[in-house]
Amino acid sequence: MKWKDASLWMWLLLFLCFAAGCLGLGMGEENQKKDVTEEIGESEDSFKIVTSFYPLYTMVINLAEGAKGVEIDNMAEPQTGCLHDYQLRPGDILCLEDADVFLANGGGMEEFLEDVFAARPDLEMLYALDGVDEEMLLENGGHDHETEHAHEEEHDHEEGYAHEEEHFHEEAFNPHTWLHPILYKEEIRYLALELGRKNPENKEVYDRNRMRYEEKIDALMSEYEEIKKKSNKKGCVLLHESFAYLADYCGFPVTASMDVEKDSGFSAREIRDLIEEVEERGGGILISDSQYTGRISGLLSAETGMEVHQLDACVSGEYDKDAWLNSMRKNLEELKNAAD
Amino acid sequence: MQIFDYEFVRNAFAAIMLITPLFGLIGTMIVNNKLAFFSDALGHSAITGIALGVILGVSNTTFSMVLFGIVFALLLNWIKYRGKAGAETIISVFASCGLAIGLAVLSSGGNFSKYNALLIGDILSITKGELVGLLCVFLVTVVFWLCCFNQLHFVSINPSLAQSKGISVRLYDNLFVVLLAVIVMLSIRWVGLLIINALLILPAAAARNVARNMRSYHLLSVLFAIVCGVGGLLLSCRTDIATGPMIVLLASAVFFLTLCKKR
Repeated sequence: MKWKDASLWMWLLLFLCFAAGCLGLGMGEENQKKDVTEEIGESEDSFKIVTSFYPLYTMVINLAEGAKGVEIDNMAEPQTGCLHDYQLRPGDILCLEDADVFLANGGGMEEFLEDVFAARPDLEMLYALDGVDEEMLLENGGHDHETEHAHEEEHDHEEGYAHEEEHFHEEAFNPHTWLHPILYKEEIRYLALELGRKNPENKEVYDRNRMRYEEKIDALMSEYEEIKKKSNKKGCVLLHESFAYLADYCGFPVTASMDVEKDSGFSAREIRDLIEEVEERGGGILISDSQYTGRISGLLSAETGMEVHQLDACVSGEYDKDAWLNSMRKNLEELKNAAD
Repeated sequence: MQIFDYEFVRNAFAAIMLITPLFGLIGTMIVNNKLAFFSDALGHSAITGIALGVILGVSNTTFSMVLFGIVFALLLNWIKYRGKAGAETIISVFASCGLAIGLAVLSSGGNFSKYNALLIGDILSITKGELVGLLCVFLVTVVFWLCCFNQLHFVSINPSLAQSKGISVRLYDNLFVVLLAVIVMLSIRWVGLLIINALLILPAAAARNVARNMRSYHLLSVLFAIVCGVGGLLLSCRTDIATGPMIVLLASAVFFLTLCKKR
């Protein structure tokens, strides 16, 4: 091999090393998961809870703090955001290998569940949505299930929880319930109860933590009282369906809900139709999701003259016990600006 | 309401009036120098530039993308001069490797859909501030073309003769690829990674089919690019097809028409 050729391939090798280094750096900087539980000896069995995504992980690290022999893992990275377009990775299946329970949101949020069932048919599932009173659920598009379907069949409830799993796991409901503090509390209560059943050794810990976390949520809810009481709030156009629950909780009238921010590749005609729809049904404020670029919301705002308010859907961020509380406080500040 | 009453259409129109002449102009040199594969590799490397920005925590990934694009272009050019044979293979290795790194990093969270807009472009959401950036690149390119076209053309026709006449072949070649990298990286968000090369090549290739001299070659290339760009935008207003692919479809149609004329 001539020197020139050798040098060329050496440069190529260097480039590949640099690239691999970058890749390693990128992977290595993964947001560190919180080790909130107490370790046990190797001989003892541990109880492994795997959550599907960030909001559920935040719930569980609050509930399992100090629990003995409990291992908590999260499937999707904390920067993933909503799971609608999530592609399951081989590592995710490996993560489920020794899991005792897999905690999913339900309601069509985890479209990859079939692959999970195929990989671990014996895996115990727990759906956060099962802890929610069905009548409080909103339909996709922001309508209240109770008012829209009052004529429909009555549903059975046991201890205030709906247990019609199949019904709940349909995509007819808006699954972003963690953005409604009352529903969030219901889910926390349900998960503490179910985790206590599945892992009785730590039942007291789960209960104690639940009460402590509920106190914090109550404190947050009292901060929301001021905005809830405010009358004559502006109507809002939601650019991500997740905020339907927060708008519902705070009493902001939803004039339109159009899940457009995650999409790309619009034609000019589609954007023109969007603008016309916002103008027709809107008049008020645009609520946009901070996890997206805000290009569509910016464009709609420029065309319609409506103010944009970016809210945090609490689906991405640092692995922190208080992440949900912090995000909801940030949202409260933004909503106060919106209501003024 | 008329379509031009909308600000986003006016912005997109202005962006097309800036991007397409640039592509038409620079495409002539790409086609002349048989650099289609080179520019394709450069376009694909944009995703690596964004991934690099994400890794380094840069808030504005355009900066990391442009920087990476310049380094990548100079590296590819260097390879072109060093490797007597198999340069295309090495360019392909670099391009594939770069693309794979970008995809690996950006899809590591399992949610690549956030970057979908990069693949097909999003010219309709361009803002006035971003138009100013494109205008600067447009002016720099025009000045560069006016000052350096003769040298670039000379280098393109006969590099040895150009070298003997005191023209630094490597310098002009490097300047050209750096300019190409900057244009590609700054317009890739609007045009899309998958189709940017088509927009660079097609107007120039169509013009080459029918042009009689260098002047008409340039003129027709710029004209085809502008007509397809504006036509694509207007058709996108009437149909449900995204603007970028519509422009490329029109440019392809023009190319095939000129091909018939050539034959």
